[in-house]
Amino acid sequence: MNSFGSSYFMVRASNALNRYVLMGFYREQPQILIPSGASSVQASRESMSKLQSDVLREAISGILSDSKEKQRKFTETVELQIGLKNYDPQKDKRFSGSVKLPHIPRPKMRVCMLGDAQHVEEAEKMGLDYMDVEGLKKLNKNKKLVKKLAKKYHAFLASEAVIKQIPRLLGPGLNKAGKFPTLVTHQESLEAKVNETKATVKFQLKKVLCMGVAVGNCSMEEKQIFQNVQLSVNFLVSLLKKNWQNVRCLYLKTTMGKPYRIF
Amino acid sequence: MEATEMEVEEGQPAHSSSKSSKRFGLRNSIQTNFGDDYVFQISAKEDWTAMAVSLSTNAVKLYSPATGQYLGECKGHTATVNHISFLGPMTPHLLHSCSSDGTIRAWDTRTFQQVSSVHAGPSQEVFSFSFCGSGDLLAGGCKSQILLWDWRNMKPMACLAECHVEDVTQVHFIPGTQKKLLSASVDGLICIFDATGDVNDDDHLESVMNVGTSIGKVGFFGLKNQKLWCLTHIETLSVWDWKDANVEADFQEARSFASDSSTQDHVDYFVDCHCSNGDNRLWVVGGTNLGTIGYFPVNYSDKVIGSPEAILRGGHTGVVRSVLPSSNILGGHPQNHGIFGWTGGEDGRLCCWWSDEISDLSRAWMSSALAVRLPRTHRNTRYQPY
Repeated sequence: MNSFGSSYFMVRASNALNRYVLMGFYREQPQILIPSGASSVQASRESMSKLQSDVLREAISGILSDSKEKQRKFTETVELQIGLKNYDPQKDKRFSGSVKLPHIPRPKMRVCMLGDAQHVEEAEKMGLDYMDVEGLKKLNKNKKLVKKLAKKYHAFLASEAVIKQIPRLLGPGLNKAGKFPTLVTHQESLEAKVNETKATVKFQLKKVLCMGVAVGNCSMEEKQIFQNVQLSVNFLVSLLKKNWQNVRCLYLKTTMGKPYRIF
Repeated sequence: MEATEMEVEEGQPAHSSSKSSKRFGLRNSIQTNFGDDYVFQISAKEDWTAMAVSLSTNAVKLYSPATGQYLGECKGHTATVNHISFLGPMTPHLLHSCSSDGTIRAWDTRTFQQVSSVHAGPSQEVFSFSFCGSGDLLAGGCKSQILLWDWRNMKPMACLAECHVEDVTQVHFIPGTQKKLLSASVDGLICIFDATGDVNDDDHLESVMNVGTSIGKVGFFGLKNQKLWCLTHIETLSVWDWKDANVEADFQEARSFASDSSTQDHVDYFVDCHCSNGDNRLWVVGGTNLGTIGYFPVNYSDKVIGSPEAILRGGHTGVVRSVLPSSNILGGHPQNHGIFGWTGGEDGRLCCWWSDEISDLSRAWMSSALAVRLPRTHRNTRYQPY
């Protein structure tokens, strides 16, 4: 029995969500998806999700209720754990990168705008923390101050005019913190870029065959976690040469909770 | 072997959207091992008398590109060989390789013996290396560090440890510059350094470009090598002007774009990018998990990936890891024998492709834009494999 019903749908990325191929739909809220061409439908059928949506939904309910039972002093992250098979980390291509999720898994992420005059004004209106070139110059390339700035925020955005000056103004401090800014142009919405930054998660397979990816948190709606999991799973599977044949198991768990198997 | 001209057929291809396609077929297929080992990379000597092939056995085998004859094997690395290159400052017989065993070694390809090696340090891995134009500096990309050696006396010179926080998958001395060094890493950053004098992170970091995700391969192209293509591990492609640190095109959906323009295959990954000598054209080589690869032209000003101008089918049965086109050789070379190039993949095979007036085994297509016209000499004998 096919958990997605009798018809298959595929959507090409919309403007905000531009890295994935989404298959299927959430039962309570069917989304109208536009099929996009013979070759893509063919491809989607080959890498069709073997993730049963009812199993996933039950797991999500399970982990959320477990989390409510034993309340922690912080909002727990929901993590997708992937076990691979038929994959050799020494020989096969590197499995690492980042994926943008449809729903922000980390809303409390602190982002700082290193902006030119226009972006500074926009940031102020949005209530987004910012610094201008003068502020950066005041740091005087002092390593300790740059490190302090890097620690204060999870991520940085920078205008085109500013981003090119950063190596000269700040040295490699932001590089070393792993927080070099992402470019924002004036052609795109600053708010959208902030959301994009908050919604992007990294994944990296090191020398072993298992990996974890953050896909949500316990204060999100079940439906949102569902969509985040579906998207990230389908994206990651599309990067594996044997697609689902490379996936041994999938688990979902909260930071402090017990794992629920979903594949 | 006498030289042959690569014929450019003006006729209509039987099936293909491109009018100026050229027919290529599988000429030769060599099994490099009888186990499950992969071919990682193929690198050829400048005069094309030998080509080196790195395998997942941690060894490098040498073959003749003209005949496919096995020449010998360079053994010594104790972990994955990550990069090999003949483009060193010394004699053309020297092959250099770097490995996850933390060494960069030089091999004499006439004797297959190791002649020198430098070590990056305990529990280090070297993912990429590059020699500067004048030959005295060697840069190695390691785990979050870039190491520099003075190659004349094999002494370590500098360690740049502040600019990357993940594996440095690529280092390149920028062609046409004094000593500008470019590095790219799993952390998503491309850094440009000035490697003259006493090199350190604080003062020599010139510019940083944030690609946003784990970078696999980069390369220079364009009239003055001022453009940079970048392939990531999530199979996206971007084109940059590295001098101005500007992104010119960003194909987040590169696989879909390429697949949409191809009537037959769904592109699962990218092998490499190919550029033509002396102008701004760029192709991206996309492949399927079943072993077909295609050369897709990249129009980075209009942000479009066009229909494949060459499709090489029927050679490989698995992921293709390396493509070595002979048209890379400046001005063509009489020893090319009309060969389009060699490809290697996870099936352990080396495939040689050329004009299919010789072979009817499989069909492949190429546009005249990729061809190099060689002086025609008369061929007396058919190709004899034995």
